[in-house]
This record gives sequence, C-alpha cells and structure tokens, in this order.
Amino acid sequence: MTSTVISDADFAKTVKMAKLKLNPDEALKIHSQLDEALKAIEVFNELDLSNVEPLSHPSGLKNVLREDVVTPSFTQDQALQNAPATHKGYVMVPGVFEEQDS
Amino acid sequence: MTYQLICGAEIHVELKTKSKMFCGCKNDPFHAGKPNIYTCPVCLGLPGGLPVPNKKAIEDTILLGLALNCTIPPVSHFDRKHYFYPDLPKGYQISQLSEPLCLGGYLDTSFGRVRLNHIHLEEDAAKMHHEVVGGKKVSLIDFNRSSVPLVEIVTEPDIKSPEMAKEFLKKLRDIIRALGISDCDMEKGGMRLEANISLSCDGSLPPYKVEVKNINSFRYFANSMEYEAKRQAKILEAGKIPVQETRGYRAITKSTASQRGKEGAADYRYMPDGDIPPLTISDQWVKEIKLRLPVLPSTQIERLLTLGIAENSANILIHDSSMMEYIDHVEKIAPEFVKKLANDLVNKKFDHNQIKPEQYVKQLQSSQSAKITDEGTLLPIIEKVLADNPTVVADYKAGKSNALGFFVGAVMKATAGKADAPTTNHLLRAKLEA
Amino acid sequence: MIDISTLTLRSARQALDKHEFSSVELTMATLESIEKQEPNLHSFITVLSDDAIEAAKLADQKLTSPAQSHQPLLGIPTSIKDNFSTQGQKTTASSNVLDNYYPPFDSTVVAKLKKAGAIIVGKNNMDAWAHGSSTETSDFGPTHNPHDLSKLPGGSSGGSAAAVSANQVIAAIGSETAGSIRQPASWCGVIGFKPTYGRVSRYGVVAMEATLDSPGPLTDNVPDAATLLGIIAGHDPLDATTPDVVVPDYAKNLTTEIKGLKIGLPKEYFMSDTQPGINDLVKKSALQLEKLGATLVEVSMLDPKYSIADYTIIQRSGVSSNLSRYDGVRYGHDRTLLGSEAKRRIMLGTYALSSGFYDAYYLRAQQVRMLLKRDFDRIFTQVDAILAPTSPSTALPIGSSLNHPMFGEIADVLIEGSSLTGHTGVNIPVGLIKGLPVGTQLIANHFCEQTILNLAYAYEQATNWKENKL
Repeated sequence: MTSTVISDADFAKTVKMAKLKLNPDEALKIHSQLDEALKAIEVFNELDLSNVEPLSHPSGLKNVLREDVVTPSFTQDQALQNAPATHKGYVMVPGVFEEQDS
Repeated sequence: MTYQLICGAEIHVELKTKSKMFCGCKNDPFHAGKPNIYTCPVCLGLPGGLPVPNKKAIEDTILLGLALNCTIPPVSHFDRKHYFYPDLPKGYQISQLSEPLCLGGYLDTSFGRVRLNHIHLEEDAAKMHHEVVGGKKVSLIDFNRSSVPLVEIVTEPDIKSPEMAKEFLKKLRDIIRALGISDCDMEKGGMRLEANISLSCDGSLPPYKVEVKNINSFRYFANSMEYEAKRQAKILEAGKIPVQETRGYRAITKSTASQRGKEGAADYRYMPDGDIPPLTISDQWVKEIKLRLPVLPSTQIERLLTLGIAENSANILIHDSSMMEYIDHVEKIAPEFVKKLANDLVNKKFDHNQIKPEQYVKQLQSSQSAKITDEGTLLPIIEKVLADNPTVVADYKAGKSNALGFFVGAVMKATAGKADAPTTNHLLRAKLEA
Repeated sequence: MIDISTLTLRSARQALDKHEFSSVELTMATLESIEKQEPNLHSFITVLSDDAIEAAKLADQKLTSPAQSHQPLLGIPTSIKDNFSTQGQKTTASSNVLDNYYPPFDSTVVAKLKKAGAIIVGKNNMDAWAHGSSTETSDFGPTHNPHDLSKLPGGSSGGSAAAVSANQVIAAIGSETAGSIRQPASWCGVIGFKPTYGRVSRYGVVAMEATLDSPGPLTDNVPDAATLLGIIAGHDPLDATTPDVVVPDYAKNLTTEIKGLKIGLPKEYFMSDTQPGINDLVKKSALQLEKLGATLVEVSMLDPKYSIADYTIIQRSGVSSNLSRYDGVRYGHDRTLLGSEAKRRIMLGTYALSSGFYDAYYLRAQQVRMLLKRDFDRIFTQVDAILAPTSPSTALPIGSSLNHPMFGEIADVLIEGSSLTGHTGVNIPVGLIKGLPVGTQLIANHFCEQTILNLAYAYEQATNWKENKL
C-alpha cells in the first residue's frame, strides 16, 4: 500500500476506539478519505503558532455555575420511554461482565 | 533481598450535595427506593442535554483541598474522558485532567507523610448490576447515580506499609466527615479505594506498578498490600518484573487476581468540555471557602494531648462533639479535673448528657477528702496568720494555750477547711516556740 | 384560499388579530402547501398535522380575546429543523439511529416558540447529524432546491431553507455550526440568520460541536428574522454558554438608517475560483449599501483556506465526542445504523484527539482558532460589518456531495472563519445566475445582531430582490 498519513495499525485502533464497524470496502474508502483530509491540514505549517494560546472556549465566559438546588426530574416512565429494553424499572442490556475503567 | 513497598492510593468520594454535579436532579441514589426516578436529559445523556456545574460541589472540593494542604490554582476547567460502557450515558465522563481544582497537598501519619498528587472533581457513572432475566444473563442499569458529584484524591506512592495505609485512610475519612461534605459510607460505595502497588529494593521508583481494584474497606486495602508484597517479591526474586496490570481484590482468599480483558492503557482522548466555561478561582473566593474550615481532627487531638489526655482516649473523644464540648467547659472551670474527666467519659463512668459540667466538678471536689499537709503550702499561711494577730501571739506566749485553737481556726478559714489539723498544729507550735 | 407566499409573520399576525382568517385556516393552508410540494421537495421528515390543528384550535380560542394581549406568534405555524427536540414528537436529526426517538422534553428554542404562541407544523429535513452542506446526506433522502429541483438546497438546514423558499411555511428555524443556515439560505434565496454563538440556547438541540452550534431563523424577509431572533434569543440557565446579555427588541429597532456604518470587504474572500458572476453580484450589493449611506473599506484578512483545515479538525473532534452517546442503550438504535458521512467524521475526530496525535491536530487547531479570533477582533476595530459572498457557487446538482469528503468544508470556505470565532452573520439574496440564487453575507461583531439586521433591512427595502423570490 502506498504510504498513508494514518498507519493501518492506527486506523484499526481508531475504529475500535470509536466503536464502529466498517466492512472492508468502507474501511478502505474512509482510510483514503481521511488521508486526504489530513493532508489538507498541512496548511497549518504555514502559520507561526509559537506562543499562541489555544482557544477552547470562544464565549469568553467564566464561572458559569448552578446553585445546589433540586429541580424536578423525569418520571420513571419518561426516563425509560425510549429504551429498547427495560426490566422492573431498569434499563436492560445484554450481560456485561468486563470490569470497567475508573 | 528485602523489598520496600511503594504504594499510592486513588480514593473516590461521593459528595453529599443536594443536587447532582451537572443538573438539578436529586443527589440521593442510595435512598431512592426505585430505579431511574432522578434523571433528566443531562444525566440520562439524551440528545441536547447540557451540563451546568454545581457550585457547592466545586466549593466542597476546594474545601477538602484546603484541609489537606493543597494549592488551589487560579484557573481550572473540566475535560471529557471518553470510553464506552452502558453505565456511561454520554460515552464520556466529565472529569478533570490538565487543570484540576487542587494540586499537591499532604496528610501526616505516625508513619510519615503521605503526599497528594492532586484532587479533582468529576461525575459518577450509573449503577449497574447483573441478573438472569428470561433465562439470559443481563445487566440492569439505574441512572439515579449518574452524574452524582465525585471527588478523586490521588496520592503519591508514599504509603510504605499496610498499617500506614489504614491510618492514612482513617485520617482521611475523618477529615472528610468533619468537613461535612460526604458520609464516606464504603458499603454503599460512597467511598471507593484503589491501590497502586509495587516493590523497590533501593527506594527508587520501580519501572512498573500493579493497580488493585474492588477494595471495599481499609482492611482490604491493607490486605491487598500484604498479598501483593508477597506475590511481587516472588516474581522479582526470580529475576523478572511483575506485569503492569489491573488486578481485583478477592476478600475471601485475601488475594488479588488478574482482571480479564485488559489490553493495555486505554486512550481516553481527553478534550476540554466545550459546554462548560472554565473556572477562575479568585483569592477572595478561596478566602470565603476557608471560613468553612472547621477545627480538624488532627488539631483537636493535639489540643487534648496538651491537656494531658492519653492519645487513645483522644482518638475516641474527637468523634463525639458533645464530649468535646463537655471537656471545653470543665477545662474552663476546673482544669485540674480534665484528665479524670477524659477517663470517665471514655470508660462511660457517667452519663454526661444528664450531669452538667458544674455538677460533675462539684461532685469531684466534695468527694475529694484530700487535706493539705504540705509544709510549703501551710507555712506562708501560718506566718501570715501569726503576723496578722500579734495580740493573740502575745496571749499564747503569756500562757493562754487555747490561743492555739484560734490560730488553727484561722488557718482552716484561710484554706477553706482543707488544712490538715495535726500538721497545722505541729507547724504552729514550732513557729510560736521558735 | 390563503396564499402562504404573500404572508409574513407580521402580516399573518395582523390578519389573525383582525380575524381575516383563523389559525386553523392558516394552519390548514400551510399543511396544504406543504403537502402539495413535498413530493418534489422533500423538505420535511415529519409533518405534524394532527398536533398542529389541535394547537391551532386552541390558538383560535385565545384569539377571541383582545389583540393587545396576544403572544407575538399566536396561531402562526412555523417549522423547525429535525435536530431540535420536540416533546413527544419524533426527533431524528435525519439519522436512522434516531428514527424511533421521541424526546420527553422540548428544546429551549421550541419552548420559547411555543410560549410565543407558535404552532410547530413539522420537522425539517437536514444532513444527518447536521454533517454536511447539501442535505443529501440525510438518511431519509435529499431535499430538492425549489428554484431548480435537480439542484441541492444546501445544508445542513436545507429542509428549513427550502420550506421557506417554496412558501411551504412562512418561517422556519435552523441551526448553524459553520454555514448550515447561511449557505442553504444563499442557495435557496432566503434570509438566513446565524446569531452570535451563545445568543440562542443549544439545550435540546442534537449537538454537533459544543463551541460552534448556533440555532437561528430562516425567513423570506428581514423583519421576520428580527422577530424570530427576538423570541428565541436570551440567557438560558440550562446552557452554560449563553451569557446574560440583554435581548434588544430587534424588530422594533429595525431601521434603514445606515449612514456612517463602515463595511469591510476582505479581498481574500473574493476568490478567483469563485463561480463567475458571483463576486460581481455581491460587489453590486455592496455598492447599493454605499448608495444608502454606508462606507465601503477594502480590508485584508487571514486567508479562508486556514479556516477549512481548522474547522475540519475542531468540528470532527466535537462530532466524535458528541456522537459517543448514541449506543442504543437508552434510546434509538445502535451505532451500526450510522451513515457513512457520520462514520467518516467520527473517525477523523477520534484520530485527531487520540494520544500521540492530539498535539499535532487538535491542539494546533485550537491555536489557529485563536489566530482567527485575533484577526476578526482586529478587523472589527476598523469596521462595523464585513461583507462577502456567502458561497463560492450557486446551488450544485444533486449528487455533487457524494464521495467528496471535504465537500462541505469547501462549500463553506467563506463562512467557517466567522463560525469558529462565534460571530453573527446573515445571508441576504442579491440576485440570480441562471435562475439560481446568489447571496451576500454580512458579519458583525459579537452581539451586534442589530447592525447586520439593519444593513440587511436597508438593502431589502431599497431593492426589488423580492422579484427573485418564488
């Protein structure tokens, strides 16, 4: 395969992290499309970014907080009304046994 | 080869705010009674739900940092930590990575200091349990706990022994409870522990660490250290390095076991949460929070020690605020009785809720039949009595022996009746005949 | 029969208050207009006929009370893009993943519209998850441009723009992350208003990127846009990114008096590879504004090409994060039903945020964003508004966006900059090329919506651009 921006290993890792399922054709297509997009990012190299603070919150707001007050919640019915599977008031999924992170 | 235990702890504590971390749903997962009755678009992760941080949770976290000698940086923000799990409704947890609310800090124990790396604030996941329904294994999820505020305390690997761990964790819990920010109920998951354990032969940081989870008590924490010390030592003796992995504690066998399915460190793709503007923590705000700092357990213990109370008594007394108040009161009116009081309280010799401090003191005073026999105390009083009554002295010297009775009476008056009569007699005669 | 094409929000209000027709009659006429043209346009995912008639009946009852007490939109049907949660009514974001999702709550924008008395008559088609500038990535089929059915309406608010353009509805609500209101407005020849980021609450809107998404109105005249903006704007305690800034009475404050306003024309935005004829029409609109009293100034800004790259990374990173909640556990279907455009964007975003690549991509993108902000801040010390073409082309043929991974980014090249910096912008139709609309965009500084509303209004009143309307 011609050299790509994203390695095959990283591509596979990314598919897993994103919890997606790609069939081989899809994977090939998306891989090349991503490469194309990332090549376009190289235009960043033309800019001098030394000492430039990243802008992560354009609103400029600070300290937008909520007082510790209880407000009405959904009823149990409302909470569950869209769930594909429920049982005795719980949302139900096929058994998960792997210990989760954190 | 002797190895040194190098152990750090990660402690999660659920804050007992009224509402959740990022929405106004009630924060009461343990007593809800029914599942999924405290949810909303935000904590249920519905499309369009947006987080708004709970001010009290932030202040409680800063308060904890102040109590643990942390630095409170002037800026902070929330990050998204991404992973998929059915109990994580948004597919990410709102947490903090690069700018936590509290940095550094420490807690001293009798075994030495445990430094903290940092304290940060995040949201809890939903509660999941497993059952068999319709013949199939399923997992059932209750989102009442989703987005409850969670404080994470991360220590440096300064814990050197199981005993040190127990003391550290107990002290930490006492402080958290004294601050009133959490009940730290381990059985309900209000406080959760994780250990990072490794062994070193020369005190330097080893090139691996083993994470141990599923630790439900301070004792289990200590046990897991003991077990890992043995297990890892065996591997090191064989010239190998223990695998860096996550293990779960097994209470019944007091051992740890490797957890399935761990393939290497997860990549959480942290990014700043764009829905939540960053925080600027002003000096003024920190000052206001500091006013909430109560007298901490360590300070209280020190004070009792200076009053002459034994340490194991002190450790018991500080947990009962009515006893502490009683001690304060008696210290003011009759400090000489504080030590006895401490003993009486600890050994439950009387009901301090029924008997007022003044009563207690009076009872003690009257029951004490101790008379003053000390010459050093009596002589100055005797000399004064004689100096004040020259005519009666002359009378005595002229042969009026019952003048002695007068002098004894006077000394008794001056000592509120406590002077020992024979000693007083003897000293008076000695003075008068000198 | 009521002719929707002749009505505005203002004239409908007057007619209802004077009992020239009832809300039920107006709503039925709207539903008929929708139904008649839907086979050609497909601008709706869901038409809420029953709910709308019920609401109209209730409105008619209220309309019997004196006119002064009426809510501003009482009895008037509007439509809304299908990424706005409507309680108990299907909300799909045009994705198969949500084709069975009925939100148990209203988005704040919908709640405000309802509070103003509006009737939600339907949910408009869009690019699935708002991923696109064509509306043909909708999992339920594309919308067609009313000016030429073989052409795209633009996107992602293509359904809303087409519905307004074709007079299926008097007015509609859309949302913009970068271009999704202004660009379809340009291709469909309507007013598309994107407020300052944070001016309108995002609560209840299917999120694309937290720091970019901005709901806004699409109408066929400026006063209606001003009216709708006044209704949906404002601080929302449920959205921490909406500041407590007063909402002016935009409609009342509208004036054609624009003397003294300085308008900057960035030379970088009049690109050589823009479709021939567009730059001329846009410059002509600028000259019209000059004639009305504004001063034109040539300015220089950062080349828009940097915005393309910047937007690509930031938006897709946000997408990969915001679409993580679609796991089929609490609602909707699982991720296997995600469309290819969504998958592609999630993949790029996930990669850009991943360990080892975060600094090179995401962090650098945030730095470039800061440069863009500084650039716009600098310009706004010199001018009151920026004027440029909205889009480098007129509506492209159906099918153009497929297999073109950067289609949207290139179509929105002239809009991404101001979106990344959170500025407010509006598209105004300024002419036709081969029967297809051309739009001029005006951009103003944060919370200066009134400035560009006034400029747009002055232009509208002085020209006969309504001849270009359908």
